[in-house]
Formats: sequence, structure tokens, C-alpha cells
Amino acid sequence: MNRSIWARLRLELRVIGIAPPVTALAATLGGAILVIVMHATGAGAEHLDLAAGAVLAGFAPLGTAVAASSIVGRDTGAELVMTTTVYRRVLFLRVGLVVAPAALVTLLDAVVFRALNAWPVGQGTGGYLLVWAPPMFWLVALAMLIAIGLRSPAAASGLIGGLWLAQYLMRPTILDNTVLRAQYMFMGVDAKVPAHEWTVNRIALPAVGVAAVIAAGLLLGRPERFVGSDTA
Amino acid sequence: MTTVLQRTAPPTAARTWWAKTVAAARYEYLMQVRRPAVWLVVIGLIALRCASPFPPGFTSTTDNTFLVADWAFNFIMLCPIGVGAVLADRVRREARLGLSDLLTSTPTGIGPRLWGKAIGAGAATITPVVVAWVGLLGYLTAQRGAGVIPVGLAAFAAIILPGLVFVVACSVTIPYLTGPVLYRIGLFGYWVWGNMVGPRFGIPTPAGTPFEAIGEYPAGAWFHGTLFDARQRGITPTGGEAVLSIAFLLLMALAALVITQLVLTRRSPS
Repeated sequence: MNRSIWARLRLELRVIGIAPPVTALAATLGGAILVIVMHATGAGAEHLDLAAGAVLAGFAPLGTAVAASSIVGRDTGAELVMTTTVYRRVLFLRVGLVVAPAALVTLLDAVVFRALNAWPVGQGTGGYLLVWAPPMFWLVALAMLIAIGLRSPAAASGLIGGLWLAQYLMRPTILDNTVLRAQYMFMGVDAKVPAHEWTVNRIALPAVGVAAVIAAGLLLGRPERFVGSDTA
Repeated sequence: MTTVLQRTAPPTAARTWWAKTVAAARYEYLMQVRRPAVWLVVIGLIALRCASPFPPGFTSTTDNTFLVADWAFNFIMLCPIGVGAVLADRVRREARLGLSDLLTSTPTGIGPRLWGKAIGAGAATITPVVVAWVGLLGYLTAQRGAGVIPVGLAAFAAIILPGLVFVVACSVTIPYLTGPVLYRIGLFGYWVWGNMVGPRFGIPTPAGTPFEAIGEYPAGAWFHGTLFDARQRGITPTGGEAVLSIAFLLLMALAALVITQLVLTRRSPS
């Protein structure tokens, strides 16, 4: 990688500040510490499996989504950026800078959890990625769409947090409905599910995520919405 | 001309601490209540939970106290996350907009500004909850008669409000230390761990004790509401424990604000 790309990445990191990457990493690292402590203190196998699944499919995606959505509206020099480059590209690059380290650490978490035998029921080697990557992509994409659509990271984090918790609290209602079941991010965390349901779910989550990214990209086609106003 | 120059109120420096706080609260209220995000997030989360109210079938009960207690429980399950999320960015707003020096130069002082923010912005963020609750009581009154109203008001004051006051106080103080982004994820983690991860998960938690913020103790002791985590602990809350639960939340809210005021005053250059 040449020096100008490094310089650009460092510049973008300075613009987004330390808080978003730290928040994204705090959720996945904090969860990993919890599982390791539970393992060290002799927690039951059932609790360990559940905690590992909750960290990978729940807390890591949530922390990353809240952190990624917080970068919207932070650009004090947005007008200047827009006159020199495509704002959509800049914003997506910044999201990548928050999401990529969190994704790498979550992958590392998965490897460590498997080694500790703290692993969601019925998951094989594919689980290293499939347990956490589709929910993370889905939640980050929805959070970005809400944050960009409403010009409000606060609204995005509140709604995404509520959606996450609603999925946890309303599990029976969601699993009873075919459409909602395909968007259930904790699929396979607390019980073994039939292979075809698992496959549909793991395809449907990123599919909706891609749609949300496209919608967010379209909204960013009018970047002047972000100029000269406090967040909503 | 003379009439124009006449003041309708004394200048800020001459006014009492309380008058300054009320003035700050009024502006904070108006700024916050006009934010679309506040209404969208808080009403959205209440609607999300109430779309499939829990426990199933409680709406068919003939006992009004039980009915409003379980509705109150549905209200408070998700909405504090939204309340905290939309309040967290109020804390550093002045600094972000470059207004800190200007505000410091006024005679209002740190205390009235902090308390004004807590009271005003907090009340504004709770306003959508109040509106939704009044709407629900109107619906229940049409179905069951006016007897629901006093029970509904009491349930709001005892079950919903203490938890929200606690979350408001935390949301206008802790972000001074953590920033809004980290605070939001911390609040979420606390809300799940401290109120919903019951003892059966094998993790130490205040859920099911009087020190939770979800209002289970007042609901169980005074309104025959459904018990969740307290039942897992084998506890049926008494009136005294319900008072302890509310007092704990209000005292923690007070402590957060007083400590923050002391720290900010000490840090202030003036």
C-alpha cells in the first residue's frame, strides 16, 4: 500500500475520532472477556455456549452498528469534502474503518471460543464466519440507513438497540412468522435449527443488508442534506 | 422606546438559582421536544414492544390494576434505551457547536445549566412516553370505564417514571466522561444485563432485586403485575421493597447529578 493511501486512512481516522472504533471493539472484546472469565470460573457448558453465541451474533454486531452509525453528521467541514470528492465514497470508507477492525476481532473471538469449547449448538467450521458476519452486516447496514435517512446517529442507535432487544424479547412471535424468521439475527444461538431454515436466514440477512446499503447510497446522492445543520 | 427597554424579568445575575434553572430547563425542553428523533425513537420502541404485548393474554383480564401494571411493563421494556440514546448527545452539544466559552461567560453558572438540561431535556424526552400512555389510558377508558384512569396514573408514577428519571440522570451526566457513542452501548449493556438477564443465566445481576430499574417491584407489590426475574429468585415483592426500589433509583439519579455538578464546578476555570 503506498504512502498516500496510508495518509488518507490516517486522515479519515482523525476525522471520525477515537470513540467509534473503540466502541465497536469494546463490545466484541468485552464479550470475549466475559466468556473467558466464565470459562475460567467453571461455568456450565450450556451457559458457555449461550454466552459465546450471544457475543458473536448479538453484542459484536450491535456495538459495531451503533459505532458505525455515530460517524454520520460529525463532519464539520462537510462542504469542503463535498466540493473535492464524492461524499458517499468518503462515508463508506469511514464506515469500513470502524467495521473492519471489529470484524477481525470478532473472527478472532470465534476462533478462541471454539478452542475453549464454548460454541453455539450444532455449528460447524462455517460458524467461524456465519454465526456473526450476516447479523453484523445486516445491523450495520440498517443502522447506516436510519442514521443517513434521518440525519441522526441518536435515532439510529436508539432504534437499532430497540430492534436488537425486541428480537431477543419477542423470539416466539418472530419465529412463528416466516418472513420475520428469515430476519432473526440470533438464529442458531440458543438451539439447533433445521439446515434449510439456517440457510434461508443466513442468505436473507445479508440480502436485506445489501438493499439497505443501496438505499443509503441513494440517499447519499444528495449530500447537501448534511450541510449546515445540527443532527436531528 | 422606553417600553421596549423595560425588562419584564430581572437580569440573569440577579435571579435566584431556581429561576436560572427554570429558564435553562425551559429552553432545553423546547430544543429537545422539537427534535423528530425523540418522537420517532421513543414512540417507535413503545410501538415495537406493544405490537406483541407480553405476557400473552394479559389484555383480557378484568382486573384493572393487573392490566395497567403489565401495560406499564411493556412500555418500560424498550423505551429507556431510546430515551438514553437521544439524550446522550445533549451533553457535549455546546462544546461541539463552539458555545462553551460563550455560556461560561454568562452569569447562569454550571449548576443551573446542568440541572436545567436534566429537567428540561429529560422532561422533553419523556413527553412522548406520557403522550403514548395517555393515549393508551384513553383507549382503556373507552373499553372499561373511568376507573382505569387513577390506577393508570399511579402505575405511570410508580412503575415507569422512576426508571426513566434514573436513565435521564445517567444520560446527562455519564457522557461527560465517556462521550455519547460509548455511553449508548454501555446503557444498552446495562439495561439488558441489569434488568433482563435473570439469575437463571448464571451471571451476577441486579435483575429481580429491588435495585433493578424496570419497575418490577412496584408493579408486583402494588398492582399485582406479572413477575419475571423476581419470581426466578423466589421473591414476591412487599410494599417496603417497592419503596426501596423507587428510592434507590431516585437517589442514584440525584447522586449522579450532584457528583457531576461538583466535578464540573471544580474543573471550571472561573
